[in-house]
Amino acid sequence: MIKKAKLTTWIITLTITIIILAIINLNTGQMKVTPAEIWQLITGSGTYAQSVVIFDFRMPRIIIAILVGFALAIAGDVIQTTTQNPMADTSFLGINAGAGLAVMIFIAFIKNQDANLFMLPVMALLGALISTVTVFFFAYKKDTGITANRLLLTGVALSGCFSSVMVLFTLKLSPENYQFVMNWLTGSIWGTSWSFILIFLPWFIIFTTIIFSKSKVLDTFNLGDEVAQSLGISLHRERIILIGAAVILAGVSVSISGGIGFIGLITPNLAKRIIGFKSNKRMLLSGTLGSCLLIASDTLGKCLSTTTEIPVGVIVAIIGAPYFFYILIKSNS
Amino acid sequence: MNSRVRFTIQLSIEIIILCILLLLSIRYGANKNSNDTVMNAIFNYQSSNLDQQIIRQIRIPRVIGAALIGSALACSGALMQCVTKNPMADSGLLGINSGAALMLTMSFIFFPKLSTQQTTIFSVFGAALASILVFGLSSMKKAQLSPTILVLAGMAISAFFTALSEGLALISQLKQDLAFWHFGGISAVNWNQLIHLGPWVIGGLLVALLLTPNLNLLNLSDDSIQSLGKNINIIRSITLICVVILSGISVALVGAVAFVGLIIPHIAKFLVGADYRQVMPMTLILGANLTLCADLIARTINPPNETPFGIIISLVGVPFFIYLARKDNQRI
Repeated sequence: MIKKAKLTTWIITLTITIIILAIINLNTGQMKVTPAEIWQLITGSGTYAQSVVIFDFRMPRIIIAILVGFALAIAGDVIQTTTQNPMADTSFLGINAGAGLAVMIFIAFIKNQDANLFMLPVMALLGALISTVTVFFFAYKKDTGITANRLLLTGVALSGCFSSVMVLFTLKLSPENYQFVMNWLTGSIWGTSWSFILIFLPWFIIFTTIIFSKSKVLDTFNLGDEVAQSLGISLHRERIILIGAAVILAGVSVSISGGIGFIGLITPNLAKRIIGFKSNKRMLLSGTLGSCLLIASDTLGKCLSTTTEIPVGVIVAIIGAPYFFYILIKSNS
Repeated sequence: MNSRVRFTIQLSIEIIILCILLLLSIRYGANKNSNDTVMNAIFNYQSSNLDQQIIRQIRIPRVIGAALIGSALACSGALMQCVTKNPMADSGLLGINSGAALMLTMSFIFFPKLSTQQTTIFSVFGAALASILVFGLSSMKKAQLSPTILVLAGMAISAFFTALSEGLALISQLKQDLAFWHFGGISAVNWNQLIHLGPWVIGGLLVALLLTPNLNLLNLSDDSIQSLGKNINIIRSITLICVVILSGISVALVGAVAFVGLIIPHIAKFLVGADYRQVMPMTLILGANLTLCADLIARTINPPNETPFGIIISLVGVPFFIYLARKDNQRI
């Protein structure tokens, strides 16, 4: 019972933090809008300009940040549990690099970007999926199937390959396009409109549901391969399904938010420390932590510089890296 | 004696290949030269002849630079694999290159008027910072880090430094200048840089060669080394200083090139066995051969445009890395 109360307390605290951060986030930016004015907007009065800024730009962005943070965190959690490796993350499976390469090729060869605004996330997702399939293909061996370590190392190698191919296109881009692609690669939430949320939501709901419905299976991974197998679980199949779901979730997130790392790396570790190994609780907590981290980073990035926006991926990395180093020292490999 | 004979033969073959590659690299490029022009440029230089001028002023420093950097990267890879007892160690994979890149970005932003020599100091400092971070973190743990964990940690450290330098570049509107440096390749190496930085690289390589008898010891457990009367921390520190100098200067000269340090020591060990007294000389020559070869391909594949030479290296390096990951190595 104590555990349950602990989870509820944490979730409530984090939700309140997210709401406070969201309100701060709504207020900051080129155009200042006070909380009182937001209240006026909600009740129906207020200027047209204010309503455009708040409802068409800032609100969708905040919602995207919350959803993407949640998705990246549980995707990272699934990868860490299935591979039994606290240092694993979806960004190491070549997802970020593959999506980045696809975006770069798209920008380099297609001139009229505005007309193809919705093609961009599709391309990114395609790139993420192709690169993941390639990683799985190279990690597969006839006798042993796909082992966790081989999968991660292959992912690292192919990420390196993709980033060096990206170089070829970097030099071809015009300075404006280059700026856009760099912003994308470092991770800036750019898909800021309601239509992106509508595209994102079905994927988010389907794959988070799949992952949460498999939380019992995830628990067995913690027991070790032998125990899981003796319980009658087809380990390889479940692992592939779960990693596949995590990859699609992360791929969709990255395609609308850009290459954000570290969230999937650190939040599952933090959640494990707080709540323990029970998968459904832990994933709920790491997801909420992910949302909180992403929206905090976004708000911080907006507050720190009023002229240029600091990409949210940079802030996440600055906040996340120290904790990662801490995990690295503490973990017993 | 048998292994020594084999080593001598292998080394001489590699040196012959090195000489051939050196001559080919000087001869071929955006414009071809006859053997006579090459010979004249070296032994009978006339500054009025444009072809000879190109060879003397542009191609020779570039070729020497490529060879030196190849040796330096391969050597630092071998040293790191030895110190960390980890077959996956490489200055690119462990994030040392990205540390150097971060400091270079900062020097571009805050002190844009520095000369190349001064920016190199920043780069070496960045490499030192990153190596202290990587090795400090891994030595804080009592247990040995597994190769996979070390590679993933290196990835995360790279991601951190890269995020920082890209963020800084975006804020200060550096744009593509930095990208050109990142992948700039060897084309920018000139005599001036070689004269200032070459001695450091050669010094680092010599120290590495002198260290080789001690490097063999590092494969033993710490206790047995101490019982032999050697101070393990001194050996480790000298090795790390070598790594920092060699990889820092290479990054400053040609940008972040990964995989050379990963591949070459393995090939060298495959050819001559595990004795570092034989592995190290082979590593140096093989490293030079690889970068010369890659540079030659990068120049001639699509003339007069240059293909970034890091891509050619990755084309060899990535399959090799995957091969290492697929090999059923107990320690991975």
